[in-house]
Amino acid sequence: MSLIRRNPAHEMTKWGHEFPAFRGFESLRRDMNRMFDEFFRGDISVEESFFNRDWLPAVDIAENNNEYIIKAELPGLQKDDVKISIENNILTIRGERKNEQEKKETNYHRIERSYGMFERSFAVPGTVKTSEIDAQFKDGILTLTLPKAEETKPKMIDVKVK
Amino acid sequence: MTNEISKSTFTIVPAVDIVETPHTYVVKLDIPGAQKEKISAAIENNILNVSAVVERFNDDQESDTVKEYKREFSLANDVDVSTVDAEYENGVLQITLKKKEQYLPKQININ
Repeated sequence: MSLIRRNPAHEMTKWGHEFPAFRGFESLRRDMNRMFDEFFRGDISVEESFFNRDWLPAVDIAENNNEYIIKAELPGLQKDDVKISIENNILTIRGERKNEQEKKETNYHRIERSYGMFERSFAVPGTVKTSEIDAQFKDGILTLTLPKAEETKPKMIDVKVK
Repeated sequence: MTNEISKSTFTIVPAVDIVETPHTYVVKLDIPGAQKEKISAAIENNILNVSAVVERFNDDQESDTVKEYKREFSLANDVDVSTVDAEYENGVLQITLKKKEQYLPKQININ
């Protein structure tokens, strides 16, 4: 069992700075899991097996006046391999990429692509209409569109100069 | 709207799996979000050259960036460069290279 590299401070800066709404939630959850594991079992390694996360897909997040757009790179996966859920304003993307070829008479020259389970969670701002989140999956990219509630969109107010 | 000026490009080395079977080499590259027409794979002087251009968000977004995937592989002598097969599915480019006839495993029967 290897040690886990963990740097919540980095994650906070990365997401906290540019997209305060989408601050990485993983570090907090990991902290909570660590706390529970230590409390009940006194065994930190349980944390790793509990999470069983082998790779962390890259994610781009953008925002415009009407919506937030999350794009996750999930090459080699199909629609049914990915599960998206939202609970308590926490959006979670999880799934698994299986290593499809485990044949005999095979020489592996390079294995750089990640396989296994993944999970990424994001704290979604309260201004998102969670019932209208749209998900599309194409060419290994998962695109989530999170529409903003009407009242939070920027408005132009005409000021008449007399 | 013309916004090509504001687009910035950055280069990515795609992750690769290379697997050898008795008759082939299979090269798999993660290139998520590409359009087939924007992927190129070519062999020249025993070097396999793969590249693809992917827009990060939409074409109509001004601050968009372009990802350029690029990677080169020098091929082994036993690769038959005349019959290369490439397939793009679910964001993965799979290139199958056959081995030359004289390098294939053979069974020799005892008379």
